[in-house]
Amino acid sequence: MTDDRSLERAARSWLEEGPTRAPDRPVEAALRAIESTSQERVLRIPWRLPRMNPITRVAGAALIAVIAVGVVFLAVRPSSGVGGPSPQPTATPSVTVPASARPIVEPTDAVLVPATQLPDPSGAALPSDLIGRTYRVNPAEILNNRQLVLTLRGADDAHCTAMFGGRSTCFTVLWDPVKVLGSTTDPAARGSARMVGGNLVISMDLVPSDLPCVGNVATYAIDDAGATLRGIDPPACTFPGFVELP
Amino acid sequence: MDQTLVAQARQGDREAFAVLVHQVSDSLYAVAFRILRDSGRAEDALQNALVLAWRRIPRLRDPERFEAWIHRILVHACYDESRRARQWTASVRVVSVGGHSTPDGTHAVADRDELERAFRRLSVDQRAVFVLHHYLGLPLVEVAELLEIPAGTARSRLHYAIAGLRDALTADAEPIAHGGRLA
Repeated sequence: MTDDRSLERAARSWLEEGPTRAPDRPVEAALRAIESTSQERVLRIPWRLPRMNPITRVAGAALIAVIAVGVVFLAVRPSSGVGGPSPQPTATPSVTVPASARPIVEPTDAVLVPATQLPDPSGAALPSDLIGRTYRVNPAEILNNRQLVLTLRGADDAHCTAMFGGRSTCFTVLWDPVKVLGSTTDPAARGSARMVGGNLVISMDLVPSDLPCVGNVATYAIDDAGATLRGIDPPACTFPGFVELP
Repeated sequence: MDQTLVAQARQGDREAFAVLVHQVSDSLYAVAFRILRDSGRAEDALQNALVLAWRRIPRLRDPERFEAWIHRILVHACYDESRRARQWTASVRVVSVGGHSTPDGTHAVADRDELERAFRRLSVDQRAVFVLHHYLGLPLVEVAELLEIPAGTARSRLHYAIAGLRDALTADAEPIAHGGRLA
C-alpha cells in the first residue's frame, strides 16, 4: 500500500490541513517597511531596435565586433611597453574588481579585503570635515528595523586600508544594526570616496551580494554644509541621496 | 489579478501594491508554511518576500505573471530562511515511539506525525516542488517555469521527494517490523 500514488494522495491530504490565512503581523510589518523602501530602478534597454534596416544592422554588428576586438587587444597586451611611458590614471574613478576578488564573505560590517589590490581612484581625498560622518539613505531603506547607513571614512580607516592600502578615503553602505546572515536583500557596498569637481564621488568597488552593481559610480552634490548629499543622476545600483544622521 | 494594480505598483504606487499584497498574502503564507513547516519562519519568509517584491516589481516585465513571479520570490525567501535555520539547528534523528501496527506502512502513511517527520527530511527544493505541485495544483511544467528550472529538474525533484518520503516512512516502520525494537 505504500505505492507512490497512495503516498501522494496521503501527502496531498496532509498538506491541505495547514493554515490557509496569513497572520496580520508579517503583512503589516512588510507594508510598514515598504512605506520607507524605494524601488529598484530599471534600465530600459530594448532588445532590438525597431525598423532597423539590414545595412544599419550589418553596420551595427561590425561596430560591435570592432569594439570587441579592441577590448580584447587592450586586455591581452603587455601592461607596459619597452621604453614607453607608463600608463596614466584614467579620469573616471570606476574600477573593475577581478573575479577572484568578488564574493568573499557574507556581507556584514566585516572589513573586506579584495583578493588583489584595487587600483588607485582618481580625484582628491575627502576633506577632513566629511570624514567620519554618517548618513541614512534618502529615501530611507528600512528592513526588519534595520536601515542602510553610509559612512565616509579616512584613508587610515580599516575598511579603506583593506581596499586601498591607506592610499584613498573610502565609504561603506551597511545595514545598521548589522544584518542577519542569510537575508535576501543586502546591498551592502564599499569602495572609494573621492572629491571630483567639488562633488563627492563614490565607486561601488566591493558589492558581494550584488555583483552586477560592481563598478557603478555615483556623484553627489554636497549641500547644507555636508548634511545632505544629493545624487546627480545616480546610476542604478547606487543611491538617490543621503541625509546626515543626528 | 488586476493588472492595472500591478502596473500602478510598478510605477511606485504603494497603495496599489498594498491591495495586491492583501490579495496574495494568504496563498503565499500557506505555501511558505508548507515548505518550511514552521509558522515563525514562514512569517519571516513572507515578510521578506513582500518587501523584496516591492523593490523588484519595476523589473517585472509581464504583469500577467505577477502571481507566479511573487511566488518565485517567496520560494527563494523560503530557501534563505531554511539556510539560516540550518546554521542554528542541530540535525536531530527523530526516533519513532510507536503507532505501527502493520509492516506494510499503510498505517504509517496515514500517520500525520510520520508524514511531518518524513517531509522535514526532504531538501527544501524538493519540498518546494512537492508543495507547488500537490498543494497549489500546478502542473510540473508550470512549477518549472515558476522556479525557473528545467522541466526535467522539476520532475526529478518531485520523483526524489516521493522516493524520500517513501524511504523515510519505510525506515520508521522497519524497526517495528523486525521485532518491535526501536532504532
